[in-house]
Amino acid sequence: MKYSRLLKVTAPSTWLSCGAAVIALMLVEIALPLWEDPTEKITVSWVMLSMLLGWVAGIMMCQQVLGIGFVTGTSRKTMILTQWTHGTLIALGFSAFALIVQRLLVSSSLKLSSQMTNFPHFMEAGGMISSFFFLTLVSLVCVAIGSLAGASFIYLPTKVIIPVTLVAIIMIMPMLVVIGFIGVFGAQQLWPGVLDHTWVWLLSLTVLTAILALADYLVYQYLDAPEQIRRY
Amino acid sequence: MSTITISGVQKKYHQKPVLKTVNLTIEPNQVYGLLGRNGVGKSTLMRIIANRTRIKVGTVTLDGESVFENEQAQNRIYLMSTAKLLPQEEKVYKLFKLIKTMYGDFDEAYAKHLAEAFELDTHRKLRKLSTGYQTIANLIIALCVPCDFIFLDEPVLGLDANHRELFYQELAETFSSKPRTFVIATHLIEEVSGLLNHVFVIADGKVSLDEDVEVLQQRGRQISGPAALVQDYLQGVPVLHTTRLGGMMTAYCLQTPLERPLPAGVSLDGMNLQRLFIEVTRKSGGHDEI
Amino acid sequence: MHFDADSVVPLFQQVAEQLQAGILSGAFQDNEQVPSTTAMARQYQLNPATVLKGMNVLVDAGLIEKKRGIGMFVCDGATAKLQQLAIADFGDTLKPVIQAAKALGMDKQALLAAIDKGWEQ
Repeated sequence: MKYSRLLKVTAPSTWLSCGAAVIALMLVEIALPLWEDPTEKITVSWVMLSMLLGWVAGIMMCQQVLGIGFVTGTSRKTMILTQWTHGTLIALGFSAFALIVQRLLVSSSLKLSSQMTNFPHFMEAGGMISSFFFLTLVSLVCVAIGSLAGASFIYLPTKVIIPVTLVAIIMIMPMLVVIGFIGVFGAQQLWPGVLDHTWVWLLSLTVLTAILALADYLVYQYLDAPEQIRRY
Repeated sequence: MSTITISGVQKKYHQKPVLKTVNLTIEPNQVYGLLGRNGVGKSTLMRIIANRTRIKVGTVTLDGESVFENEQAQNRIYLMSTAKLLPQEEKVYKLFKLIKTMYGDFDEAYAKHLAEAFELDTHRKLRKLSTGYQTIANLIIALCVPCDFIFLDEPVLGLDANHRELFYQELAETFSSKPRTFVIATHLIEEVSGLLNHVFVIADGKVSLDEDVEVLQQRGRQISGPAALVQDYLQGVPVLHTTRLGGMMTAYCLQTPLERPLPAGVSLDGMNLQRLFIEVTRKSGGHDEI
Repeated sequence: MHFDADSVVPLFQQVAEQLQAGILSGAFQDNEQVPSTTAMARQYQLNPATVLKGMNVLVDAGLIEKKRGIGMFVCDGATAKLQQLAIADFGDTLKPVIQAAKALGMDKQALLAAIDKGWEQ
C-alpha cells in the first residue's frame, strides 16, 4: 500500500542528489581534462563512476526512506523495496547514459579510446548489451553496500563511526581487493580462459548483487526506528 | 468498530526488561491518558504499536489482525513523538503534502487554521524552527492525519503556557467535531485531566491502573484528620499511601467507603488525577512520617 | 465558569451546576441557545462527553431541551422554575448563618434585627 507512495515521496531528493553527483562526476572526468589539455585523449572510467554513483545513491536514500518510512507506518519490507527500486532505476539510467555519452565521445572530434576503460578486455564499446548490464550490476552492488553504510551511519553511535570507517577503509577494503585478485588469478589458473567469457562476469556479478540484496533485506528487517536521522 | 488489543507484550533493552506483560485495549473515540514515571516504557509501548520497535513476545492487533509490518493497519495509526525522522531540510507546508501522500488524505483546511492559530510560518524549513515550533509543526500533522488512533508522546514538551492551552482547546474541539481516539502520554497530568475519558498507568512494566476517569473521581478521596479516627474510618480498606503531620494523618484511597458515617473531625476531599497518579506510583508504597 | 479537579463533585455534575447557575443568573435566557458541547469543551478543556453528560442532567430535569439539527436551548419557564427551587432550598443557605449566630450567642431577635439592618443597605 505504501510502496508507491514512498517511492513518489522519496523520488525528488534521491534523483536530485544523483543528478548532482552525475554532473559533478562528468565535470571531473570530461570537462576538467578537456579544459586542462584539449589535445589529450580522454578516457572515462565508467566502471568507477557507476560504483561511485551507486554508493552515493545508497547512502542518500537511506536517510529519506527510513525517516519518512518509520514516521508513516511503512513496513520494513516496503522501505528496502523502495530503495532497491530507486537504485535499480538509477543504475539502469546511468548505464544507458554512459553508453550514449561514450558513443558520442568516440564519434565526435574528441579523440577517445574506442574501448570502455577498465572493463575486461573483451567488453568493447561495441558489446552494448553486456556492457550495459555490467555497468548496471556494478552500480547495484554499490547501491547495496551504500545502503548498508547509510544505515550504519544512522544507527551506530557517533563515537563508533569514525573508528569503524577507518577500519573499513584501511583494513577491510584492501583485504577485499586482495581477495578479489586472488580469486581472479586462482580462477585463471584453475580454469584457463574462464575470464574471457562475458557470461562468467555477468553471472558472478548477478550472484553478488543477489547476495547483497538479501543482506540489505535482512538488515532492514531488524531495524527499529532511530531517534533521529541526522546527527546535527 | 475497531479496537486495538495489546496482549502479553514484553520488551527488553540490553537484557533489561522494560515492559514485562502489558495487556490493554484501546477503544474507538476515546481520549486516553497513558501515564507513568520517567523511563517506565510509555514511549516504548507506543513505538511498538506504531511499528517502530519490534517485539519478540506479545501481540498487538487491530480488528484481530497484527499491526506489525501491516500497512493497512498502520495507515490508521499515527504516532507523534520527539523523534526527528522527517526530513529537516523541507519546508513545513511541503511536509504536510508529504504526509498527505503517505496517508492518502490530510485535513489541509484544519492545518491552515492551526498554523494561523499557533502563528507558525509554514514556509520555513523544519530545522530552522525553534524546538517549540518544531513540536507545534509535528502537533499540527498529528491533528490533521486521517487516522483513527492518534498517539501523542509528550505533545506539549517545550510549549509555552499559551500554546499548551491552545493545544488542549484545539484537541477538545477536533475530538468533538471529528471523533477518533487519542492516546496522550504526558507528565503534565493536571492540565490534561479534564480532557481524558480513561487512564492507563504503567508501572513496573505492567498496567497498574486501567480505569475510567469518572470512576476514579467517584471513589478516590484524600481523607484527613486525627490519626486514630482516620484509621478507624478506613478499617479494612486498602489504602494507596498515608502521610502524617504530627497527630494529623492524611490517607489516599481509591476505594473510599463512602457509605460509612464520617466521624466528626475527619474530612473527605477529592483527589485530582495528578495526586492520584503520584500516590499510585509511589515506590515506597507505605507510610511517611514527618 | 470554573471547574474544580479537586472537588468530590463529578465533573459532569459541575457542568450541570454551572449551566444551571448560568440560567438562574440570566446569562442564558429562556428560549435562548445554550453554548454547544464543542464550545464548552473547548473553552474549559473538557472532554465533550463530560459536557454532554452534564447537559443531559439538565435535559432530564426539563431545564434545557434539544432542538434537532440546531442545538440545546433553555426551556421556556426554566428560569422561573430554578428561582422557585432556589427559594424553596433557601433554608440550606440560611443554615450556616443561623449556626454562626448561635455560636456567637445571638438570640432570634438579635438575628432578625441584623437582617432588618442589612436589608436597608
